[in-house]
Amino acid sequence: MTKLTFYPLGNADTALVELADGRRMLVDYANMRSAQAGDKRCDLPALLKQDLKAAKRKDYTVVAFTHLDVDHTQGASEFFHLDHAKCYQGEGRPKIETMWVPADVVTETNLTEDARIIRQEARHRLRRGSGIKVFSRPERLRAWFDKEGIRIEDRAHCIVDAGKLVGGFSLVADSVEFFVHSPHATRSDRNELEDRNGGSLVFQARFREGTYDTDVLFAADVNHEVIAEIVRITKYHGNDDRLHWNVYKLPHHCSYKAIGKEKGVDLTEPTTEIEWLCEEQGERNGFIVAPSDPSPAKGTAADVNVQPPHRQAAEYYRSRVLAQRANLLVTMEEPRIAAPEPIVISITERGAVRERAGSGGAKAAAAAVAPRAGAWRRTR
Amino acid sequence: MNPWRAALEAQYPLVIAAGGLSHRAAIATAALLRSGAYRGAQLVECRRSAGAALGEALWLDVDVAIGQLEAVNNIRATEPVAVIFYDGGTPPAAYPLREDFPERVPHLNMSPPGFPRSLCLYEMPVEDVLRIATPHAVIERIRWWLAETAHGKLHGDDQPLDPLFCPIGETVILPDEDIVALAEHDLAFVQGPGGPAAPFHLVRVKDLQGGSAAQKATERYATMVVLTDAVPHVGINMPPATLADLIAIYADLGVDVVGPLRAAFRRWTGRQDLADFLERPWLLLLVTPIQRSPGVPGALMTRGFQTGNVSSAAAARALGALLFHGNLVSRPITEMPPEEGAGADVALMTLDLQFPMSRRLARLASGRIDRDGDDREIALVGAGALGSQLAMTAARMGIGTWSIIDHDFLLPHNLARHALLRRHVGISKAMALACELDAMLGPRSVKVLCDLAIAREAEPLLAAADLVLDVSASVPTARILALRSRHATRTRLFRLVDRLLEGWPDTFVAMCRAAGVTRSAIVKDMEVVPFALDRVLRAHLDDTPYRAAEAEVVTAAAWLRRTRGKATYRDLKALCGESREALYRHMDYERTQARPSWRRLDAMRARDAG
Repeated sequence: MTKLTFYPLGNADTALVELADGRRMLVDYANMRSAQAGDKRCDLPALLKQDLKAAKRKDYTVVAFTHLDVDHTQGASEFFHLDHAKCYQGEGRPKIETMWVPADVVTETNLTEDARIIRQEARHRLRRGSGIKVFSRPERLRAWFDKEGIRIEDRAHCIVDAGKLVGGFSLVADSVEFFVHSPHATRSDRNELEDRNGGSLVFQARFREGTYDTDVLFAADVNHEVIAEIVRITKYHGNDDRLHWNVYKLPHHCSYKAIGKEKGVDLTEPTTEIEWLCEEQGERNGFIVAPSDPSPAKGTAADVNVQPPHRQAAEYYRSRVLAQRANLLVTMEEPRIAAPEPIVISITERGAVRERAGSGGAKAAAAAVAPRAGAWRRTR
Repeated sequence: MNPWRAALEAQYPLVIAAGGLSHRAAIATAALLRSGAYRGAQLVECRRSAGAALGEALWLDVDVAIGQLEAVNNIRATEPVAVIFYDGGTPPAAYPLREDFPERVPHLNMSPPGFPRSLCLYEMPVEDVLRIATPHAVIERIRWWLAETAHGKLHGDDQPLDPLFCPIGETVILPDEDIVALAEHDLAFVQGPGGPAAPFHLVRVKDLQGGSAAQKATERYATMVVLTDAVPHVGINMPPATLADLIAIYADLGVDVVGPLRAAFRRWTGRQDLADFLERPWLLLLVTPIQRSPGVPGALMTRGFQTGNVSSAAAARALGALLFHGNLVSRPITEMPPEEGAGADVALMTLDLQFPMSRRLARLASGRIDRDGDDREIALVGAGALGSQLAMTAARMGIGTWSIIDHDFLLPHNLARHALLRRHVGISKAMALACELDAMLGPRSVKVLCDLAIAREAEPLLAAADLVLDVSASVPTARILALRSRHATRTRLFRLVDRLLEGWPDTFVAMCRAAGVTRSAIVKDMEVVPFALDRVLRAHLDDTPYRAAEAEVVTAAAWLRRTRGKATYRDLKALCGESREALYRHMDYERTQARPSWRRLDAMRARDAG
């Protein structure tokens, strides 16, 4: 069964996707735990290695880095086996079959630490022409290819444009497909093509279990303006269902900026596009996952802080979007603030279902025999 | 709105601390919920009954994994549930507490009207439930019950539907005829030998031929058979205690039972002996179809009710079916709805009706309802020890329309192994067996022929049969069948395919594996390999690409030359797959290539040298 795991890492993102056939996929990797005692953030590398060991796997089919911010990449160079340099290889480092990155990751300069190392790995794979998907219009990468002396046509299979499905996965064979929303191209006022803050990688994963499709929207760290562009483009192309979600991985750690311009006093008012995305395209019984610290209480120092999470944003999702307030899952609040644990969501033939710690999933109950009330004298 | 919460609160009025619990299972369950290790439910409060007998209760908020697929029953993502722990060898019971919890769903346990109904969590003996009912397992089971009920999936598509009323009361065996034919007849109950617990037979009074049977017969009943409209599948209920209850239950399900009952009473008015008939107690045989889902028939429930000493006139009066003026009985001119609570004084006693054996019942009792092929024509060649047992066993399962071919007679020593009994000694085996099969499957369902070898008549029987069973233990007979039967090869072939398709795809894949077939050979012609099949194939079969043997390539090339004139590389590859070296050796070269591969050059060189 397909399973999503969201790890408590403070204001940072890592999601593990266990596909129906057991393959593993990671969306971002950020090991934020510090050495200090009392840090409630999880020990990400240990948990992930434990998972791989239990699944008897040594690699990830896909590792997607939505962008190069520290809260999406920290510690990646210490965890993964990277092909481009011997010093990032060795026993126990899981391999990455295919790396997904937006074009910025290849072209950005002045990077340091993990961001730089990920860029080098992405460039290495792109030069090699395998094990990578770069999300962009092909033209966006032309200058880099020219400099490298590679014909862009020879790397067409490594480039995925927005508005397309990612190759290599199909609903029929793999029970999953991925639709790319960003980075996208928009026309500027001067009527020439340019890439905007589409910068980070936004995509919808669609999982099929039985006859039901469950949609999960991974929104990286985009703000409401970028979401509005995505909504407009998607509607223009008649792809509305590609913004449908059962699970919505919130952008930017439950920031009000992913909803509207003004923070609001108790609730952030959404823009028209966000309202459509959240209240029309979302399932009211679905889940919203906020990879963030606990929401600050009103009037506390954290509440005044400009950094997310913002309680006004959380209030919008809880009161206007979801049928149940409890379905906004803040990674550092679940199951309780004192001891957060990874949030596990199973994809079933009835949609996304939250696994409760220790419940043993659907297996425990289904293992027993179905009740047959009144069938004890079945022949009548 | 149900009063279940209030009723349970009245039964368990004392709210206590978790530390004050004394029932072992209640303590363990509360401990699990308070430990924080399990979050399938939250503990709200602990309660105790005023007297010790009713045990202790935990009020829980249970988390239900409903998902986003639209639910068909009104079950919420969080359901308040009372889990009750009784003293002394009884598993815990779970009672929903929400006021508008759906009452009309399958698998709620029965209780008298107005009393709380618990979830039917297990179908196994109590001792087995107690063995597995850990706190974790019980709460998970409750969560599972709620989630499956939310989506209307708790009752499996392959499960028989629950009857509307549970069968209780005196056991009554119905006569060997269609139930509709019993309407308006004089019927009486006769108890079989074996004491007061023995079941009753329902018999026609005219069939009681004086003597002891007639003496033992009960009062004669005025019998009525009524077919109602279909009701939805709402699970099992306590049967009605009075006529008023019966009307109310059906009305609650949107079905009018008064109309059909009135019509049935009015049909009586043509009787010569109406006054006498109305004085007898009433026997109502009520037939109600139950729908699996709206518009989809699922089962037919027949329930019997009798009024004991109350006359059927009382029922007719309560229903407003007939008008009584002294000794005069008449039909009312206008149709009036029955009075509120009418029929409350007509007590109904439920009967546990048992149908006579028939093909349908045989199948039901064998779990073979809805199976294809159970009606097929079977020619049984040989009614000896093996054939008789085979045919009787199959007939007990409702299988087959039989033709029996045997020339022998039953002798005493045959009884050691034969299915027939002592009373059949001296009779033709085929005829005696046919009688017994008829009794099981319904009259005249068996054809009999007493000799195969000399009888030309056997041929049409064999030709018409879907299945010929040779249990003759005779070589000449086997020869004759091999000559005359058209089934032999087909049967073998279908049996093979049937075997391969059983448990698809596992049996198929296992056989492929045993035969050394590779995965690529199977998926070769599939555009998209179904996920379910692919998983099994990958797990069990050799994953290396298929390479055709040399002989296969030679044959394919020859066939191509014969049919298309030449064997091109592309055509050969389509037929034989990626066996490049062999293809190069046997293809026809008609084009020269600017940069031929070294394989091609090697092959051409070898061919020229050869």
